[in-house]
Amino acid sequence: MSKGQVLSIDLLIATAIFLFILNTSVLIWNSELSRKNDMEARKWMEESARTTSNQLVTSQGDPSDWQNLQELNESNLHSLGLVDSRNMLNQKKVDKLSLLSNTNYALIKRVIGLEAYNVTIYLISNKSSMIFGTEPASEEGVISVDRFALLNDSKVTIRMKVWR
Amino acid sequence: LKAQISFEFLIVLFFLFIFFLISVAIYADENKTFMSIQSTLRAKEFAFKISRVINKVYQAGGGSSFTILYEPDFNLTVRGRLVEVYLDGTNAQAPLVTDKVTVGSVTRGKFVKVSNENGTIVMSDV
Repeated sequence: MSKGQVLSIDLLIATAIFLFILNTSVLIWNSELSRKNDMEARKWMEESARTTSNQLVTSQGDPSDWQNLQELNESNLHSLGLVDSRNMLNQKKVDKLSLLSNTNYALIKRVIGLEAYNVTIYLISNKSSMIFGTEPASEEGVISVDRFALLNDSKVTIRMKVWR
Repeated sequence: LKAQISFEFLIVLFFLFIFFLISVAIYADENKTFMSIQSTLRAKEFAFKISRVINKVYQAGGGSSFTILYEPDFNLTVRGRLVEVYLDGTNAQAPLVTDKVTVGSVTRGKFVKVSNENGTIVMSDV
C-alpha cells in the first residue's frame, strides 16, 4: 500500500509543483533583470541627451568658427556648439547644422557624443522647425530635452529628442 | 515491507538528486548571467562618472578642474570621443563631447585630477 502512494500521484504532484515554482522564479528573475537593464539604458540615454544639449547652447565648438570650414571631418571638428557666448545662438552655426543634417548625420552624432542613438534637434520660436536629424516614428522611448536661448534677440527653445 | 520501502526510498532519492542537480545548474547559469550584467552595469556607471566629469570640466572652460577617485577595480582608457572601462572581462563605454583628451599618468586607487587646459582635457594623478 505504501509502495503505491510513494511512487505514483504524490511524487508526480510534488514534482510538478516544484518545477512550476522553479520555472516561475527563473521567469520573474529574468524579467526583473531585463527591466533593470532597460531602466539603466534609459537613464544613460537621458544623461547623454542632457550633456549634449548643454554643450550646444553653452559652447562655440572647437574650432570656434567650425561653420566656416569647407569640409568637416573628425580630425578638424573637435566639438560642436551653436552659440557665440552662453545661450546666444549664432544663426550661421544653426544654418550650417541644418545643412549637415542630410550629408553628415553620422559624423555630427559622433561629434556630439550621441553615436549610439537617433537624434533630432528642433528650433522652436513662433513655429517649430526641425534643424537636424529625422523625426522619430513614435514618441515611445523618446527622451526630450529643452534648452532656452536667444537667436537674433528672440527667445527660442532648442529641443533635442533622442531615442534608440 | 522493509525492503520495499528502502527500494522506493532510493528511487525517490534518485529523482530528488536529479532535481537538485538541475536546480544547481539553473542557479549557476542564472548567477553567471547576473554577475556579468552586474559587472557591465558597474563598469557603465564608472564610465559615465568619468565622462560626466570630463564633459563638465570641458564645458566649464579653460582653467577649471575636478578631482575624482580612480576606483581600483576598473581599467580605464579614453579612445577618441569615448571613455572605455573594463571590469571582470566586461567593458562599457560612455560618450564625450570632445576628442581633445590627454590621459597622462593615472594610477588605479588614487585620485585623478581632470583639468581643462585651454580646451584640452588633461588627466593625471593628483
